[in-house]
Amino acid sequence: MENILQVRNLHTYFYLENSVVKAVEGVSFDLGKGEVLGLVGESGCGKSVTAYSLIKLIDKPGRIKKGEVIFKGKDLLKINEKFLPKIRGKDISIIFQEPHAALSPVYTVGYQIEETIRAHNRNMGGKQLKEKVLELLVKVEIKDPYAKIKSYPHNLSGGEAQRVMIAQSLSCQPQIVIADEPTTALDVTIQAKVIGLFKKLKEEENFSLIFITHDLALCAQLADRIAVMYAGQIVEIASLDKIIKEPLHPYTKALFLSLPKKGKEKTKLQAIKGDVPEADKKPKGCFFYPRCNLGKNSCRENRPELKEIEPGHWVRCLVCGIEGRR
Amino acid sequence: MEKILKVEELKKYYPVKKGVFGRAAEFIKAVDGVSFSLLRGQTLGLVGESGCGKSTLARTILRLIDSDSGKIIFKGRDITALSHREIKSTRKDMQIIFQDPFNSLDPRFTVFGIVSEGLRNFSQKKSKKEIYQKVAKALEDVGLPRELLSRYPHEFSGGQRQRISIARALVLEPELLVLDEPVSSLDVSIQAQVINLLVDLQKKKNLSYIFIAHDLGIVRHICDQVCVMKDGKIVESGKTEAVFQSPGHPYTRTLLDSAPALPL
Repeated sequence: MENILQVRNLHTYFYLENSVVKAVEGVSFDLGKGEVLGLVGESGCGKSVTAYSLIKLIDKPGRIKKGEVIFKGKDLLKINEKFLPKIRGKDISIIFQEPHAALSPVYTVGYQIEETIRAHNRNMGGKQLKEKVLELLVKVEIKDPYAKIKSYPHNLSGGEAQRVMIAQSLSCQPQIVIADEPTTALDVTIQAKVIGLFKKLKEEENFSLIFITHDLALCAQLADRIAVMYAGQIVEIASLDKIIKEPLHPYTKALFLSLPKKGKEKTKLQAIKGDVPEADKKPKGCFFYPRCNLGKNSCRENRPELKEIEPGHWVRCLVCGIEGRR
Repeated sequence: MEKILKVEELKKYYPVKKGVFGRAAEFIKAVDGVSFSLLRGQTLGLVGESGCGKSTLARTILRLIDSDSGKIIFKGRDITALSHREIKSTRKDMQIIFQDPFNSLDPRFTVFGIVSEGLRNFSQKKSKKEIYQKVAKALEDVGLPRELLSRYPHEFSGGQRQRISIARALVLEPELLVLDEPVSSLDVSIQAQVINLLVDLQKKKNLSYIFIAHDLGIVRHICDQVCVMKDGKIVESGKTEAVFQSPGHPYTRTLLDSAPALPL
């Protein structure tokens, strides 16, 4: 598969008054054309910061320390700032978690979608714009699209508002869509519908999708490949099938084991001991070492690199290997 | 087994529109004729989408909100009609744990202050030493060392904070605990720890739980019975396995189908 985006050794730090929070420490991955990459991890593990770093949406005190984000042969982190607005929303668009917080309360839904299209197509006429907005609202299967053009975000339910966000993100035929926990604020039944919509749109539009979530099961509904993040690093990346059936990293394995299982009700869950390390107090060696049940002495001192253990299956661990599976 | 709680035709309406002469003309039926009962030592799951009235129901049962009609029979006694003074002695026996431990702990109190507040409220006669011992014991029960008593909430992680709120409830030796989404704001890798703790405590102290949640996997794991709520009404209830295996109401089926499951 042809890669549309290559992320190499991305580091994003936040410089606070008396500490440095290393939110992202060496994230690397490729995104294929038309592929859905699931970025899974707990809150605070750096998944959102990774996503925002891709299009340089990092504000002070944050800074992208180093790394490369190569899109169409250019490093987005090095090109002139003034070209970025031409890429954001057009080639790479983003869907935020809280639709009601992301949409402006003082403009109509139609105006906000129009705004994006206008920004990238200067000479599109008013009538054309209106038609395009309507077409987009129909595409995201919003109920009563004619009336919705003139309504304000507060008139919409959570699911509808998220559909508007999706319409907005698709308005300029992006090649990459980044969806940052797009269904976390929604109820399960609505969530299922929005996931269905994503599947349909992906078929029609053929964009690549980076789907960020903390819910492994949800990610499995959509993703072709899954990257598991922990404490600012990708610890394992592989195809959906591999991650679910043959996870290698102790953290990924432990996550699956800690889920409640059918037929084992009322038994003890296999919890992961300890707590997620705070972002400014990470262990010296492997970040997962204090909670790991495979850890050896060498893990305490040495930081593992992301290694390709079998084709397409990358793991950041000193201990587990292909033979560790059985 | 003894019924610790019985709820009959409980209703709570909120007026939303005033008609002529200032009389309420329209209502939001947050809890609309709910009946169920809970046996001692068991767990009842309340599931439903946001806005279906789960939390209002829980708060009404604890009389944090007054009901409009219906009966709440707690340990054989109807508590709906009790005055605020009379209910105080019952309050100790029913406690609640809130969803978000970042909002439900007072940032200006130390852990000791938070956990001992209930004790100081309900039993003025206890000596300082007795209170300290009870608080330390409660902390131990939830797996936190007593050295942490002088710390403040902001020094703790989400999982630890939720343990503190469990200690706060346990210190009064309640019989009924209402758990209002106790793990949904926690990290995935921490949820199992807290669920295990809750199950252990239930066994050890013979507690009865009302467990409000939207994560159906966890509900299935720990609940003996489930009630599915929609628009203030219970649309289906029964033994957990029966409801999950063969849901009768179409809404229950939609809910179960919508929940993402891993293709294992």
